[in-house]
Amino acid sequence: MKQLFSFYLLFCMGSILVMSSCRKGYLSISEANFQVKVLYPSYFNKTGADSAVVTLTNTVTLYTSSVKADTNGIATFPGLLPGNYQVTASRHLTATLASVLTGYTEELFLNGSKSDFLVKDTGVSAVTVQLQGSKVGNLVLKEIFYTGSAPSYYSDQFYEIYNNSTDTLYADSLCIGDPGGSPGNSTSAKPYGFKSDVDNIYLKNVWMVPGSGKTYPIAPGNSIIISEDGINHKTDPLGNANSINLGVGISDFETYVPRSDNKDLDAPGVPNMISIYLASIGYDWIASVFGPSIAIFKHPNPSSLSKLVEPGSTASTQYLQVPVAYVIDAVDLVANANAVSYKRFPSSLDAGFKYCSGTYVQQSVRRKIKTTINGRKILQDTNNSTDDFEVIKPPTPKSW
Amino acid sequence: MLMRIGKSTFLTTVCLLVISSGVTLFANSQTNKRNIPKDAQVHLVEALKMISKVYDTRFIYERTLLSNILVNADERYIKSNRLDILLEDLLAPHDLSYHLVSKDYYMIVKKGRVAGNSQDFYPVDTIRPRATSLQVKALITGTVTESGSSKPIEGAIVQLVQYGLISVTNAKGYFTFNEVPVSKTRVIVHCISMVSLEEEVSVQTGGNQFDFRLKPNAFNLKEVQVVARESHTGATTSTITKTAIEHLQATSLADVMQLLPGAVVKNPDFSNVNQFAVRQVGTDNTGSLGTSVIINGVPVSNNANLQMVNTATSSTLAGFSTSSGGGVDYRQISADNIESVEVIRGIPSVEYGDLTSGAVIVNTKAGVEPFQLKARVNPRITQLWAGKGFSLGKKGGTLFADVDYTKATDDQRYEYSGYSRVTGDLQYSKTLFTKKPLYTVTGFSYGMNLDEQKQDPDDYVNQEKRKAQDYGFRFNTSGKWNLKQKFARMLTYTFSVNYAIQKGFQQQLASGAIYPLSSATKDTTMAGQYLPSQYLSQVWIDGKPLNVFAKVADNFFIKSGIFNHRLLLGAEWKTDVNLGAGKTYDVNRPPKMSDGNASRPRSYKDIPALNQLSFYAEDNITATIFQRHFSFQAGLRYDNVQPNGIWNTHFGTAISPRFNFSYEVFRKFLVRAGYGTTSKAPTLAYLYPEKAYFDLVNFNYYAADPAERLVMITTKVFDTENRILKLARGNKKEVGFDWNIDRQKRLTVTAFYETVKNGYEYSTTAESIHMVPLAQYKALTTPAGQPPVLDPVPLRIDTAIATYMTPTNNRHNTNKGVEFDFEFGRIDAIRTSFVLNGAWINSKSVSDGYYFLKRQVNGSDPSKVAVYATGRGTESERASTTLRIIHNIPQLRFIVTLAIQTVWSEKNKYLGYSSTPVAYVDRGTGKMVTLSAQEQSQITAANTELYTPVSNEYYVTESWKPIWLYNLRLTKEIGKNMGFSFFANNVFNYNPLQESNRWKGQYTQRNPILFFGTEVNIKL
Repeated sequence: MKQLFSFYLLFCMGSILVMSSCRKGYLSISEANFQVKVLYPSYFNKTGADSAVVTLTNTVTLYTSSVKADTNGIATFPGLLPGNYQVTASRHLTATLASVLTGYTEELFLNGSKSDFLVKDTGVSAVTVQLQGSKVGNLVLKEIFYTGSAPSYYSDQFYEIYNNSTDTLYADSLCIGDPGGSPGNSTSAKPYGFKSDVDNIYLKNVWMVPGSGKTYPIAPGNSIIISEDGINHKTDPLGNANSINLGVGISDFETYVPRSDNKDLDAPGVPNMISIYLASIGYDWIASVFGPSIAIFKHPNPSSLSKLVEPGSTASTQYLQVPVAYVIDAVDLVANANAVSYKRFPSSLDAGFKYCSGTYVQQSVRRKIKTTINGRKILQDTNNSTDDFEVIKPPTPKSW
Repeated sequence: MLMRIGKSTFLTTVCLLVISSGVTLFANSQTNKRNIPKDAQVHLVEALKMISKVYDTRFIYERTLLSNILVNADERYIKSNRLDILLEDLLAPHDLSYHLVSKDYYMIVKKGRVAGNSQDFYPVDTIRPRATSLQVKALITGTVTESGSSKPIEGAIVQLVQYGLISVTNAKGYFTFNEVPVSKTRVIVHCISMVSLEEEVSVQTGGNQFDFRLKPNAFNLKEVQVVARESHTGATTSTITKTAIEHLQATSLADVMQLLPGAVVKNPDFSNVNQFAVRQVGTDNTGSLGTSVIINGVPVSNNANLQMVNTATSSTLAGFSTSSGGGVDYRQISADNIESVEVIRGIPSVEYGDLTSGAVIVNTKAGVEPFQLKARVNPRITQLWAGKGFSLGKKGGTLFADVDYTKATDDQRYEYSGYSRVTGDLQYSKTLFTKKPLYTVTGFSYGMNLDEQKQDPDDYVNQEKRKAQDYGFRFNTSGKWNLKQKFARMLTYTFSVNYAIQKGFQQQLASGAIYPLSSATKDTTMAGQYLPSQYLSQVWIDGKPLNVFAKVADNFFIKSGIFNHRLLLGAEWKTDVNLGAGKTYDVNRPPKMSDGNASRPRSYKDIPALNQLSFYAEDNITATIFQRHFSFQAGLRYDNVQPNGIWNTHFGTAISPRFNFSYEVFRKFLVRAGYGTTSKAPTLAYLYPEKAYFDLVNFNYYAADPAERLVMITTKVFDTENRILKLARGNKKEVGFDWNIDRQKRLTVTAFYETVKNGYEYSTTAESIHMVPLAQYKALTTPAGQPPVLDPVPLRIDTAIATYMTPTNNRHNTNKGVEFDFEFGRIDAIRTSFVLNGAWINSKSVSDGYYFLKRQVNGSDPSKVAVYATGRGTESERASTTLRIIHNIPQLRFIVTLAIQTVWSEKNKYLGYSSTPVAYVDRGTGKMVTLSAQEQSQITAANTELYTPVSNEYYVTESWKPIWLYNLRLTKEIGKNMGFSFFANNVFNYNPLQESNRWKGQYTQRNPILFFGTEVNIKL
């Protein structure tokens, strides 16, 4: 059977080709010892952040390990598998402790992080994490409703900003915005290209509360609501019966898009926000229903901030660069529990992240109440949304 | 197989033979010398032949008349006697006589017969002694039989390519050609289910008998054709036969194209429109529109395809699958009833028009063939095909009928989307008249193509549903009439009517903002309505394209000196019109639009027809110069698009000269060169675009109480037709050579350079940007329960920038490359043959128009619309080869092919991308202002209106490493009646991750996934 022989020969040749692409043998995996040095902000009178809680996460396996830093601010992780890791560090300082270190008697929540570094198996490697932190007791994001209502209604998104301090604060010139990047709803998406910059955040759309400085006061324990459309979504026949009321009396501002064709709805009685920078806008400001991440900040001249394109992206969209120092509050909202690498804000602003169970599920994220003093609710703000927020349904605009 | 006279058994009772001699001789006559040799007995025919040699004479005679007559003659005797004495001596004893027809030309007849009264000769009109024509014209008769059984083949087509003559065999397998020039000529004999035969024969003066034997095209042949074959003459063409298509297990015409040099293998895919462009990396509208598909002589027209949703905003696209604006969808063409496919990659004959790049000529089965059933299964496709060719009796002709059923799913896990196809064809062939035979083929075909995505019950968020249905009816009739007139040797005609019902449907749950809508269809300002935040948007596109095609051509030949001229004169008429209801939807629930653009329904009934009138003339010159083949084809084609008379036009005319030249410079080494221009008419989609509508809001008051709401809308309507649209023009150049190294080995190399200018596309132009003043009103009072009362004096006048897409001639494609095909032949010892083909192709596609970009600033229109330089586009390059190792065992009817495809290099780069504009359109004036180089350099990223960031990757050339792909195909015939086939693409599942050098860190699997399928066929 000569003919068959040559046929087999052909197959054998092929098989050799297949075999040769496989590799024999096994890799022996060695373990690494790893150190993280945690530093206090520069205005502290001590360098090493003692007792800081350092959490190391393998970005591939999501293996997590937490260690408390020693008196010199060094956290040691023995026996790590080599690979890609990210680290977050946090330090909570009571008012007494803060006064010793900074001279200001104010409770402080410090956070710091470093993302995407390689732990090798040779020698002892180390990284340094600089802690940063904002003062508490300021304006905070109380509730963010971004998931929308069934079946696919998203005109009812709103953002509630709460005065968590004891003084009357003014909403005038307060800016709100959402970053670009994928919230991680698709694993094929790349993480946000600006991720490695821990000193700035990059926003896609930015709105500003109008007013001359003292036009829109917010009393302690009170809040304002910025909504996509300031209408009663629930009762409006053109709206959605599953939705909520964001009409006059609830919405303080709406994000009316000043289009040249003037097609966005303009609800009378609800003042419009000022558009500072809208890089990606349609008839409405639609934040991602998968998880938008939201930041509020104040800047003397937000329109003058630099605009940059996302590194590693073909899109020509430019993002407004806001230095972390101007950020008042930021919440990282992603698609699900595994979307840790899709965080878009540095850990100094939000050491954690929050997510809802899906889209159009009418869930919102709301800040937990830390305590209530004389009827005034004081909200928990540790700059870690994983701890500070809870997922609720239905949303509770201007209520609990 | 060719047999000369005397060797074969004749079916005809009479044959004519002319003996001629080429030896120069002077009359060497002597008187009365006789000397009849007593013992030198020869046949009379032999004796006459000797006389011819000596005296340079010719004799014509009835064959039976001279058979078995023995005479006494030898050379000495002939040389020593006078001609008249010789003839008298030889003929008289046998009751024969002769007539002098002309000088040195004798007709031998029975005594008493009158010369010229040659009615008993068969056929009578061939060899009528006409001195002038007889010198150069000959008669060819012969038979076509099946080798082995020697059964005569009916319906076989015998072609004398050089003269454009055809003859179809009758029930006895008999064919005849009259008045054929005396010279070498190429004969092609083909018939359904048979291996085509191509041979060069030497036509002698007078009668010629050629008998051809065809082998059944089956897998028991040693040299079974399972690859594409490159043409020998004329335009650069690949021919793919039935066996190659069967071995490939092609599910549609798209799969067949992978046999072309430089093509790369893709897995069969019915999930999207399959278009094809010759000699191009990647397929675009310009390339596919410029590659004509001709089925049984009729171009398949996509000119009246209007299955698109909104040309002003989304060009010829739609939410459902559509080939509108581009070439024919190859999915719709079943491969199972194809007898052969010729792909003209080179310069097509002027006979073919309305194309820019090339032509795919499909011949479907016609004739008698046993019943055949094929069943094919693979992970995506289930297919059934049945066909049979009937003989309808002696006078009835033949009928071929077939049906195909195909069901394809993109992904078996997802049952809601799929494609199904049912096609049926009838091809009726009949020869009319016997004296001047007219070979006719009349066909009717039906095709149903459904590409649907049903609604997934889990998809309550989008409620998406898509349908693209196409029900096509095609009637075609064509004939080849042997008129046998000097200037009308063969008249051919083709007529076809194609009618299709195309239904496009898209459904989506439109969600998002509550937004304003106007129903105005002309420029006006009026109160509009608010649309709900959510509604089900359903859009129907009903197209009913009707294509009429008629063509008449005259074919004749003349000889001047050593040159044979085959002349082709023809005229063609094409009408493409769409009678469909067009775009319809509930006007209160329109499809969702972005920006200020709006949508309105549109009927197709008012769209004029596209008419084309064409004439062409072509001279095919062949000659043997210094004993080497020479051929030159020169043609001229005139196309008049939307004719207004013959020379006047409403749209445009084109004159396209085309040339193909070849000469055998060394023995078996042929050089070829070709040059030609082409033109393609715009389709209705480009000729008659939809109007652009804009709804711009003057006053927007959305009160909580619906009764208090008011929205005032200004509607602007623009006619988007481009009145200066020109014909797309192609220009093709090529040079190459064919080297027939030995009987089996052959190398063909062709280098080409082709351009298409004025290619059609939709783009935004300076003319399609309009500054629309938009008055903004304010409410004077807002009474309770009533809409607000407006101040008639506008608060202010804003300017909105309306931009839409309009048909343009901006696309400019350049394709250059080298393609080759190398047949190694078969090594019998290992029963294996090798064929290597491949190509290096570089395709550049740029826009000749400026690129306009309205960059919104904070949601508003900018003060300046940026205008970027022309020449934006892409350049792709690929060098690939495919080695096909064909191992066959004829005795076992078994064949296995391993195709080793290597993509040696693949490159892709962006052209003409720049961040800074060269001009801008000013919002205030609406004028385009050119920016000086200095002004351009001052534009920085901070200027979000004019500066478009272009990422660095756009300047990086993507360059891939070589990659190999192995595809296996196997066919086994079990006995004569059953067959089994199997294929596996990427049989070793070799699919490495390769890193992009443009997008660092991104890895791609470039090979198609491992894919396999099987087929069973039964012949009864």
